Amino acid sequence: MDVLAILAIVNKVILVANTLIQAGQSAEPAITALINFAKGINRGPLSAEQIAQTDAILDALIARFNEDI
Amino acid sequence: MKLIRTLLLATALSAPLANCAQLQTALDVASFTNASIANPVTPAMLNNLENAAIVVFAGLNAYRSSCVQGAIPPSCKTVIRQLQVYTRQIPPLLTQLRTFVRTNDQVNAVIVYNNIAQLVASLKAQAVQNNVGV
Repeated sequence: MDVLAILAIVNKVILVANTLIQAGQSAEPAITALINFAKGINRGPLSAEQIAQTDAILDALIARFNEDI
Repeated sequence: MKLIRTLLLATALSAPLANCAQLQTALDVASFTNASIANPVTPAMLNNLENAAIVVFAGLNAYRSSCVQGAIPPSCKTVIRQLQVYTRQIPPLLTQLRTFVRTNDQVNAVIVYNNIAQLVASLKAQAVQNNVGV
C-alpha cells in the first residue's frame, strides 16, 4: 500500500475542508465527492440514486458559481 | 465535531484502497485519461469526472463567497468573470454527456467527455494562476 498516496488524500481532504470553512461554506459536498472517489475504486455499478445525487450536487454548485457577480 | 468525524471517515475509507495511485490520479482533474472508442465513457468514468468537478466548484464557490463578503481584494470580481467564461460552457455539455452515456452513444460521449475534461482542466489552470484554491 502506498502510504504517501494515502497521506496525499488526507491532506487534500483537510485543505478542501479548511478552505471551505474559512469562506463560511459547507464542506460536505466536496468531502462527499472525495469519499466517492475512495469508494469508486472498488465499487460495482452505480445506482440511479447515486448518479442523481452526484448530478444534483454538481448542477447546484455550477449554477451558484455562474450567477452574475 | 461532525467535521472531524467526517474527516476520520474519509481517512478510514481511503485506507483500505487496493490501488491508491489510481485514486490520487482521480483527484487531479487535469490528469484524466482521454476517452476514446477503445476507452469508452462508462457511468463510473462520468461519475468520477463529476466528483472531481464538485471539488473544483466547491473551491470556486468558496472563493466567490469570500469575494462577495469583501474578504479579498475587489479584483476578485474580474477573476470570477474570467473563470465564468469557462464555467458557463459546462452545463449544456454536461446535460449532453449524461444523455449520451445513458443511451451508450459512445461516438458523441467520447467527444463531449473530452471537451468537458479539457474545459475543467483549463478552468483549474486559470484558477490556480489567479491564486484561487481549487
